[in-house]
Amino acid sequence: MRYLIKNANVYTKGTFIKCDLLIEGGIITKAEQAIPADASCRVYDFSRRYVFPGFADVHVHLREPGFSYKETIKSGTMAAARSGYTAVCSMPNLNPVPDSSANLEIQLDIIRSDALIPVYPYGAITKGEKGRQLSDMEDIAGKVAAFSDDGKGVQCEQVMLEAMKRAKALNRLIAAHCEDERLLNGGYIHQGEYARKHSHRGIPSESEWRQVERDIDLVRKTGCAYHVCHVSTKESVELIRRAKAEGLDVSCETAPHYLLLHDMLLSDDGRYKMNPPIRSYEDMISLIEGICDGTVDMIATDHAPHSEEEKSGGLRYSLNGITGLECAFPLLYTGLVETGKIPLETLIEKISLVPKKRFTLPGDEGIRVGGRADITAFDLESEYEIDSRKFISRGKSTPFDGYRVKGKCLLTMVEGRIVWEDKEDA
Amino acid sequence: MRSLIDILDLSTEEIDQLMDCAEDIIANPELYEDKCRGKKLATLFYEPSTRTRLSFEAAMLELGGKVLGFSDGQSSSAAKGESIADTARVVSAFADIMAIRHPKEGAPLVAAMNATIPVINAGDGGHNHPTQTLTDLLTIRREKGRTDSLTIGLCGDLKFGRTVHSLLQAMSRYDGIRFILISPEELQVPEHVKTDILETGNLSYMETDSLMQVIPDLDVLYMTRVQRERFISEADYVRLKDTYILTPDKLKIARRDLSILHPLPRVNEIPSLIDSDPRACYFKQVLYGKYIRMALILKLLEVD
Repeated sequence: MRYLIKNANVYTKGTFIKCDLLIEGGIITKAEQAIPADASCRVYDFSRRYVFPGFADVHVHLREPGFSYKETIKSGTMAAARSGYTAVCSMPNLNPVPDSSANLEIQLDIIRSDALIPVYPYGAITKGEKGRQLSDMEDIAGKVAAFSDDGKGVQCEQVMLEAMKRAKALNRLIAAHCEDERLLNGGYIHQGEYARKHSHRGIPSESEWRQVERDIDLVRKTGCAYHVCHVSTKESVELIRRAKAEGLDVSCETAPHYLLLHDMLLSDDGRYKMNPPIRSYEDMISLIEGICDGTVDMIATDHAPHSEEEKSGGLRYSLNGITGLECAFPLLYTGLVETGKIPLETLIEKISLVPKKRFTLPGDEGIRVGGRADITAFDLESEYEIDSRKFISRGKSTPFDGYRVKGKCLLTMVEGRIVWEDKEDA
Repeated sequence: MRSLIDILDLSTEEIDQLMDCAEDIIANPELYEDKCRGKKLATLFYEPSTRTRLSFEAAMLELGGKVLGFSDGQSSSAAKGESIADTARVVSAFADIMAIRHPKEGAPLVAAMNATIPVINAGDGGHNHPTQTLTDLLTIRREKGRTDSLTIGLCGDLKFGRTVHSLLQAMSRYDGIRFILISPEELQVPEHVKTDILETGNLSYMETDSLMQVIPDLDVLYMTRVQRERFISEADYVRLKDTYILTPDKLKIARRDLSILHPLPRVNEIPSLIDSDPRACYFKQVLYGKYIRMALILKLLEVD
């Protein structure tokens, strides 16, 4: 099938250009003005619409194998496709944990049969994510995007040191969920003003940044390429800023909720509960600054669906995690770009090209002639209220339900194959 | 013995003193926690206004005093036909100060004329709400560091919104104030407010129906609720949202140090996404409301 996209504002080489795109055999074969249509082309007129390189989310929980009542690879990748994503990296807190070739194969089998868009699984750092014995890193390195024990921090410094040495030898990234369990103090939301006023047990910021600090030291010793998952505190931002200035191979991500909420906007509802928790106003501001000055490399969603029942226990008893894919771009666009905090170009870099480059996913050069047709088209004028009941994801719990946003995904293509098309607008 | 019925009962010097006192309470709350020990505040709320009532009660409790009262005219002696004047006399025997909210204009004044304790008007009909105005003034002073030389946009329902009229009145007494009145034509500031306030003082004002056009000039943006019943259809929403809804794209062209105020409750004129913007001050404003009421209670009770 050949596709011709007409009159769109196309993000290419760091800027927006109004042009047409011709897509043939999964490749962008032409990008110029006024490409003539012929009978064999399916034509989309995207005047006043935008075409971006497909988004990449390096932090999603697709829950399969093991927890398909929360999400499946099928439902999760459909949710991703309808939100502009053309690649996701799936986290390893599964059953079985992908810590060996055999266990990883179970997940890869489901990906091969059910995934609508490419899924690049993480391999676990330790056996069963238990933090003691390293996984079969050598056996699985060729099939994983990176190594992570996401959901838990690697508590033992020696284990992390050894993991970094081996990841370095395997030329793979370590993506760390940083959380020092000794400092948790039984907390379940941020230890800040809200927790104090409402007598909740708080998680101190230190539980995150202490481990970031430790790991940066290990990076200094090993030279391992290191990535910090879901950064939430201002101290972590500053540590990563300094590590980068020092020339260490360190990157990090944050998530939309850390950029758009702070703890004084919480209410006692499971929709506001995730780990790390929504931090203070100062943390939020420093993360936005980190986005602006490049310290925060990318934005991932930490899409972490749960069943309705699991999210119904308020702040105290609900499970950690919110659904993220289907509102990420509209929230970031409306909350950060429309309000003038960051340019649209920066947002596209942070949710598409930078993560692809860092995790060596295909298409990191973005939209160019001869490149993979991994693209997504958005109507940025379309305004609506987020309605989690309409999510494709099985997870419906998000603090942003009911928020008024702009930005509707009209079309998503992976290698020139349509994986999402908005029928209402067609 | 003094009461506060109308914001004009206070001179600008007195308002400044109240704000100084509130700022001192914010800085040193522990110095004030016993100031009203043994004193009682009666809250007489003939119509429900949970926010205002709780703000008064919290203020008195934080001063170490106690509170009593009712929150609904139906559950009080008014339901049996007692006059405001009589209620005021009776309550004077029980409490040291009272805050009264009434749907009828002038009811707090009648109470003040008959009470033997200070009376605070906590809102009477569409008429006066001086503690809200004090709250707004304190918020502006805390956020901007001054109450003069400001360009203040008031947006939304400027016809029925009494907080707007009181704020116009209070701010018009400071120097260098420029008001920009932003509303759809059907909700403009009434003529009598224009002749009484806007055309007498040493201030300038302009009217517009486009928030987008004027937002770059504003130091303060005071948003108001446009009640559902005034605009009900989606068509009206679409037509008027450019006038009175603070959509995120407008903030892009606003000043970095803009302060956004809203007396709350809001409906949809400020989208939730803006709540975390550094320029959003409306939740802090609620807190300032408690502190200024603490200062006011101290002043009227003549506690040092």
